[in-house]
Amino acid sequence: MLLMVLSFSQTSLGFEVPRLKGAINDNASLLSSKYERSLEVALADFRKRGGAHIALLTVDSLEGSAIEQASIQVVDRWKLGGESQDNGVLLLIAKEDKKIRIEVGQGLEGALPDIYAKRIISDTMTPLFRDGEFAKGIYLGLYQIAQKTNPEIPFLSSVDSSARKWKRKKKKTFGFQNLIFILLFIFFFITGGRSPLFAFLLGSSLGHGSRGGFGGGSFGGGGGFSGGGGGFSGGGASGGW
Amino acid sequence: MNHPKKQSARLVFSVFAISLLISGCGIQSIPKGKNQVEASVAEVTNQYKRRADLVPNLVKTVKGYAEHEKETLQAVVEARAKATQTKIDPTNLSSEKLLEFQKAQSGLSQALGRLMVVVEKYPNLKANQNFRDLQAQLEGTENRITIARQRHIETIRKFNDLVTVPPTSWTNSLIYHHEKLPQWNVDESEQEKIKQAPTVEF
Repeated sequence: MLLMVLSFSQTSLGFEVPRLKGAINDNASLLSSKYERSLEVALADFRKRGGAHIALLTVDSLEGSAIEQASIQVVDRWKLGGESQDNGVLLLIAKEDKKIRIEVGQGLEGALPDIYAKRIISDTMTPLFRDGEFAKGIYLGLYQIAQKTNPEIPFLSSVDSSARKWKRKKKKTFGFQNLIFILLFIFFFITGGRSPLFAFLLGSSLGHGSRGGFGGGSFGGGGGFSGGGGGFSGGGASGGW
Repeated sequence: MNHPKKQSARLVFSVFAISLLISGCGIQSIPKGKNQVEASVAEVTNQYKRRADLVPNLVKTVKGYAEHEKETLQAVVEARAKATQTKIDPTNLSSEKLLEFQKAQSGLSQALGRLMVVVEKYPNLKANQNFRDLQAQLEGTENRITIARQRHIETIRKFNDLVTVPPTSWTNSLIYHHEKLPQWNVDESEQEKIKQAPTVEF
């Protein structure tokens, strides 16, 4: 009985918002230090170039809260994004609850609609997380968020090469997709790339998005990653693995 | 007889004192609080409208795969019609009107909930990309509704504090004469659902 009361009082405490340390707040230790440093630099640089204010938070447990509730509490406290732009994005991962949420700031709900947030979670992150590939899942998740919010700004990260290696390996298992891609390329040369159908098919067949080769920049520490007063109204998507 | 210099100093001081009084007594904060309540109501209705806009597409997609679920689909269409007909005026909130609005919206919530249970029987539909997108949008909208309602409750609480807690309540009874606003409640049908113990079947 006493145990029941104790456990109840513990769950009723609910989720507590941790302190904002920087772009990467890996409280559940899902990333190696190499990934952590590299992504911290990449996200700080991405913001410096005028990109969205993207942050990662991993926690061990949600303490009984729903992930949507925890996530809105975090962004209300952290205030990611500029005050007039509302361009913050939070990627929240709860390790024990096996839950993922992408919380999208009001200003980005057009660039990163719920549908795409959901696809990033269910098509990219969830399969990797199931295999225990947390670092790669997080990297690709953040990368795809950045590509959706600001496609014109490169997302530079020194772990790119290892993540690309993984993608190449994965692509071999999908020979059919490659075939379609080659056929589309031939189609592209015949039509001179003017067909809108081509653009559509290319977009959907690539799915995860192809990327250019960047060697990875080395920038000084990513200090000054504090919130700017961005507003959130519950946009985004949740999923689990 | 007063020295002119002394007089102007007194004037500056009194303007300063009055402005200090004004900023703390609610002359500004009560109308601001009222505006915030109105904005938060507008946001709630906006998100409910967003959900209602999703329903026709959802019904169309489900219909293509689940022809035998006519009754459930019909219930959704009817609940949507009822929900879009019931409107509230943010500047004039009465508790009856709010309750009516809530009832219509929770009718649609329940109809959609039943539809989502029925859908579980159709794996082809669940795998359909269009349906999955609609489901993601619906989930997102439901979450936005929850947050808009939370913020609305919070703005009402703040406004009610302003009009009932001194010293701002004195300003209210002298100048504005606002009444306490009805708080947004979980309505009866939802309360009954909470009371019922969930049944688990294995």
